[in-house]
Amino acid sequence: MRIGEVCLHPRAVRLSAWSLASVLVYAAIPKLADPPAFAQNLHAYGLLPAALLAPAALVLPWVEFWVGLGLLFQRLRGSAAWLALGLMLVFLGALGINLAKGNALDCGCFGASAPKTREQRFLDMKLAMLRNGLLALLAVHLLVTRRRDNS
Amino acid sequence: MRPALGVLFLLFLALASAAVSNALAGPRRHLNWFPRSIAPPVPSPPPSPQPVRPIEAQSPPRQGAGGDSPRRRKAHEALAELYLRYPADPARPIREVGSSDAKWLHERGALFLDARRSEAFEQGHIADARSIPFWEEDLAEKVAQVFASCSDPALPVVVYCSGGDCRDSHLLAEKLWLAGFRTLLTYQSGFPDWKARGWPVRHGGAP
Repeated sequence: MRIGEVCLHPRAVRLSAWSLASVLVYAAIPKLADPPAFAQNLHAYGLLPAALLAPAALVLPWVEFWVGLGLLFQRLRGSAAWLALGLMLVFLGALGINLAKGNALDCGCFGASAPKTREQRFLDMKLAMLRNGLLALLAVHLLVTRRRDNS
Repeated sequence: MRPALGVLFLLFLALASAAVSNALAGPRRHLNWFPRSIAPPVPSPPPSPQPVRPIEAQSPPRQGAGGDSPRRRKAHEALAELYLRYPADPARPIREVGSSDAKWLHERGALFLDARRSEAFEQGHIADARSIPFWEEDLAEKVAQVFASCSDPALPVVVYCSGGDCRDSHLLAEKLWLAGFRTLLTYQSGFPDWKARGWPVRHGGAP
């Protein structure tokens, strides 16, 4: 069986959808439980103006949550995959900018974490970028297979 | 469902959920969608720095009552020392202080403000410190309350958080400056350092 056929197999599509969905929902829950802590994390990135910190901290975790659930429903999967791809690209950009600036921060991807050294945080940021890159590929996989199904 | 419609539907769902969950959240989990900005106490901007008043003219210490008791005299001396060592400096209204300075200020009854989250404050804080969690709701109201209860905005106020890379004490100090305080000292090493040195710590909510 060729790699292309494996990727297009319904089980592979379901695996991608469930993997992406579970990471998104798992990441959303601690942020939903404590929006002020997430606002604190967002502030550390230094990318949003102060006026947008609270709205972003309130809405972004719910976007993650509903996108995660949306991936599990056939009718919403395409839309959810587009949004998941958008989220991953935004997260990748935010981490990349801060890595380039040499700003070691707690990524806040799965809520607040225990205090870490600067080196540990840099390593975590690089791992988070790798993880987000893989999740973006899963979203692309879902979009490509949907497009083939529709055509 | 068309992808664009689905995207709009999911975003609407997220917005509605955020609005409902925030409306139902308790004070420690609630965020103001658009936080109220902190206005300076005097209407004419910019707030002019107050000159250091002579010690004789300073307001008497709030604690203690009655004539010229030794306790009152001691408090007055402590206040005078605070003014002398940390005069209001318009060029540097926000300064960092080290551990020994923080202890010196604490011994003389300077106001200590804790910028950490409420839970962290309840688990342990510098004795007599007041909690103003920077990331929780009604920051502007809490800052206004502290300002209203302060006898002189030129008196040094020490702000701390969890040390290390924590910037919350600096952020709170900036808000306090906007509110009218003129001598803000950030204790950068924060509560972990204070606790590690075995200096007075309290647990629970109110100081």
